[in-house]
Amino acid sequence: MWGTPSSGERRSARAGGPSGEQLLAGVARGDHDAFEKFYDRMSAAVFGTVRRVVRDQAQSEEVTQEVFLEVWRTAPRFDASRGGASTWVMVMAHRRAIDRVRAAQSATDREVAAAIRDTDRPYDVVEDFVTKTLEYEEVRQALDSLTPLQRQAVTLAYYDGRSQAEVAELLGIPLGTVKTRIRDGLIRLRDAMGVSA
Amino acid sequence: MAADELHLLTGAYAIDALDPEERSAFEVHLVACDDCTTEVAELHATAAKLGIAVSDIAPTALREQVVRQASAIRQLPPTIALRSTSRRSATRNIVMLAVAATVLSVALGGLGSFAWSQHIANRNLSAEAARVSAVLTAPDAATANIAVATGGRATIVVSRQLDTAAFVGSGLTQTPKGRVYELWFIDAAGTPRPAGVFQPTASGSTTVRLTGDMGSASVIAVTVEASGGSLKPSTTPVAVLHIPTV
Repeated sequence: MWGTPSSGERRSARAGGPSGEQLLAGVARGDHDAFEKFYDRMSAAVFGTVRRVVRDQAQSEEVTQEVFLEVWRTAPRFDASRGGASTWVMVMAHRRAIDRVRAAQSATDREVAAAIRDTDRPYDVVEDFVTKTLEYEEVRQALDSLTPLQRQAVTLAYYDGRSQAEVAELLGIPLGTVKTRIRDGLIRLRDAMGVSA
Repeated sequence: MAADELHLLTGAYAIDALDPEERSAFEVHLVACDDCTTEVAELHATAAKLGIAVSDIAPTALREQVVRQASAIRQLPPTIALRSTSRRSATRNIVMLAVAATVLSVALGGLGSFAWSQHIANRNLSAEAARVSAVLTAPDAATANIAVATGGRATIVVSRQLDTAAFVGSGLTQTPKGRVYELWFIDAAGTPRPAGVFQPTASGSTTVRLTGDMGSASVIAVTVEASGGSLKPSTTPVAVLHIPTV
């Protein structure tokens, strides 16, 4: 149920290395070596995502650490028949990052000026990142296929960690519209990238 | 919130854009909605790609720290899988139980922030959660929630088919000594029927199934009553929830 493995995992699997799912199976047996390999495989994706949402470097490191300790702790309950290892850890990472920022500051604490600047440059969410990987290119092209409103709603929510209510306020559109734009946007991204569950 | 509105929340849920109340309400909805469950899984996988696209090398020191700390952490035991021959129904069962566990964990003070996921799917369920899960897993389960006048949040999960309702409270204020919260079914004529009493946990949470059938009730209300409960509400309700019509 967790979708296809990332292209990084597919490449690795083709090259004969263990898949993320196989590594997690090792982690589940208490294999520290498998855990280190899984960390090496996924830490950049986790850290990059968390830092985009949390922004603060020290807190991003803390959250990344929490995520991997949670991976270690709960790997025995990971069930590969229900989906990919990378989706599993990325969902965990994003949720933890969001929990961290929402706990740290209420919506009203946020700087509106910064937010408005963000809506003017939705691609910065991606442009900020240095490594132009295949995954990056795939996502950038998929984002191009969205309408501007869909793109802004999705990126504000995912990369900036805004709630749908905040997105509505920032973009000056009704909450109901935000709901449908986020859903339509993600569905279009799903189709553009050929993601299946 | 009406079910057709809830269907629209798959996207916002998948990228964590819902506030905590919406999140819980949607998770309850997921239990009863196969389409949304499938869509959320796909959109989670899509969102994961958005994250992978912004990969950024983590500081080297972090790796050593994580590896060292992990060696001191006990792993969860694998649990007995709730399996049936059909993968779809197995997944569904697990999701149902995950939601039951989520609702319970919210009730127990927000343990387990990884709602709707396999992180909690196999968490042991208490007897109360199992009773509540009967309502949650009803094909026609519907929810409503509202702020409680005295503090906290009240959520009801109802099933017309089972003729049963469950109540989930979070962040509730402790009742004064000698007082309890009492639940009521109220029909269209305004006639109340007692549906059980409860006291929240120290963290202000509760998960209970309402006593008695829903019958013709159109409203569920909560009042504060003397210990043992009353036969009729003696105070103004602190929460009034309209039972959603499916």
